[in-house]
Amino acid sequence: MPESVKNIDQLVEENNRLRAAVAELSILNDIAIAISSTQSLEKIVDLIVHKCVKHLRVEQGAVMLLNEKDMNKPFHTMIRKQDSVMSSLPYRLDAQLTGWMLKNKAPLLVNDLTTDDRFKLSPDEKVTIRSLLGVPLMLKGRMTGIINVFNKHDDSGFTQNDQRLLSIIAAQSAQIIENARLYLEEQALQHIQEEMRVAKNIQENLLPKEVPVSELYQFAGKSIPAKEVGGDYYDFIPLKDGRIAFCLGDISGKGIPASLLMANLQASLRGQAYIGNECKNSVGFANTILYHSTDPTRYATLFYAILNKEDHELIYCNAGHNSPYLFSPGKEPKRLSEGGIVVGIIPEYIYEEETTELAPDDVFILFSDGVTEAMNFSDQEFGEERLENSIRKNLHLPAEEIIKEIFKDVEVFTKGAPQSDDITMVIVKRIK
Amino acid sequence: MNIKEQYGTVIIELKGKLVGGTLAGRMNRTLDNLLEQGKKNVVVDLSGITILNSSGMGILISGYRKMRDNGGLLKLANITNKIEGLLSITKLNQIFEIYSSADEAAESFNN
Repeated sequence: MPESVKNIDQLVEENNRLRAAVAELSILNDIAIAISSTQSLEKIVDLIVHKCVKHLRVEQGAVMLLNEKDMNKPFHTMIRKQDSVMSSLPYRLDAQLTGWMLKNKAPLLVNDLTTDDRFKLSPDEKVTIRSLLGVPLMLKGRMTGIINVFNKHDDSGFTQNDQRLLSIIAAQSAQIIENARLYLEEQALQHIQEEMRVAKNIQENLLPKEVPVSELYQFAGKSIPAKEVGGDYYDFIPLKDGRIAFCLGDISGKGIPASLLMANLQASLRGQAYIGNECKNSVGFANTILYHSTDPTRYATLFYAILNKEDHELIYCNAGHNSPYLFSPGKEPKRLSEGGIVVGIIPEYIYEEETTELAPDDVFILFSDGVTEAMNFSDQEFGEERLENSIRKNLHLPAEEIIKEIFKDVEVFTKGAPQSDDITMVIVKRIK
Repeated sequence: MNIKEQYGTVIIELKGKLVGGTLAGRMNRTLDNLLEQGKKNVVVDLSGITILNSSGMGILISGYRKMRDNGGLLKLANITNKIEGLLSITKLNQIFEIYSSADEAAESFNN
């Protein structure tokens, strides 16, 4: 062969290589521009699949993202773009493919699926896949997903060039897909946080906005949930006959599950107060309602009382709640424990009630276990002794101030240790 | 969670913090398995429990209800003063039978 012809052949070959390289670069550029134009994970994945199907001349493509939270079903198939009507992969084959990729974390090129001994197909499986090319999406040595394309249009099947091109596409896409995924997660988290803020607001609105006002009594209540929403609640409910019902409930557990049941318990008790049901019957009713609307691990401790401001009679029913204190000047404090078991676990339980009287300057203090069980960094609890001391030194103050001072003492004691339970207190003080 | 049998009674020993979480599901499955095997008498030994909160108490209550509803009983043994206080405040000592040792609780089923 003359030298000049040889040179021409070389030139043609070189020219073809350059043309292929330019085509490849233009494909990569096309994909890079397309996927940088959006932040939407779905759109990015859709674009990648669409471009791969077009440029690699295949029937179908798919991007699968690894779901690290569920390794039993590790891949979440994002999208399947197809340019011919094709049934999806049979489950067994799908599992084998993803299994191989997870194990090898390397490109997979198969041009005749029926004879490839890496995959076992049962004879009755109708597989419309002839050839496939898959490459892993890798990010800092970690596999985050797979790009698969299926059924090359040319009969010759996938080439090493196809594998190289898809590998480059995977390399330049991995970080962009990951960023979009993180953005999506962040948005979801923000959405949850926003809902929590709304829930907190709703719960705060369920607590009484104002306390009853009386010339003879001071009423005060305060609740600080450990999380955004809590399972503690208190209420003051003026009855039609002029008496005042008040209560403090503590649902087991905390957070959203507890707050949902708190709203349920509060509604059933307000309903009882509204129809004028008596003390222990109201608690019995709330008990039955809660029993029927919860799973067996849930219950509530509840203290419910009705105060008659005229004759100063206090009827109460304590359903498994920390016994409140009744401080009378010059006397040891009385603990109010009569009632029965926590509500929500034994239907039709018969509760007891007791009647006591509030004398002038008597202070009644109702609290949740979050007060006595508030812990400092040495895992010591605030405890009843500290609570009693704190009450004693503040008895002379108005009801609202007493709560403030006690909460201050709890705060000083815990010295910034994280609050693990809701802290709630109700005080009724007879001033005349 | 450690499970053993004595005098035909199943003794479930719990350790560490009894504060809800995954223990609720495990306890539920354990009791379901026991009921399937026809074992209805259970003692929960709390000697290894360091912390018990309201969610943990919920697990015990749920266990108690499950056994009772299936014609069995769940009794408690080796409770600390703190847990005893909690059972007393909540008046749950009205439903739980409490024994000072797992042996004593297991034997009580034979009386």
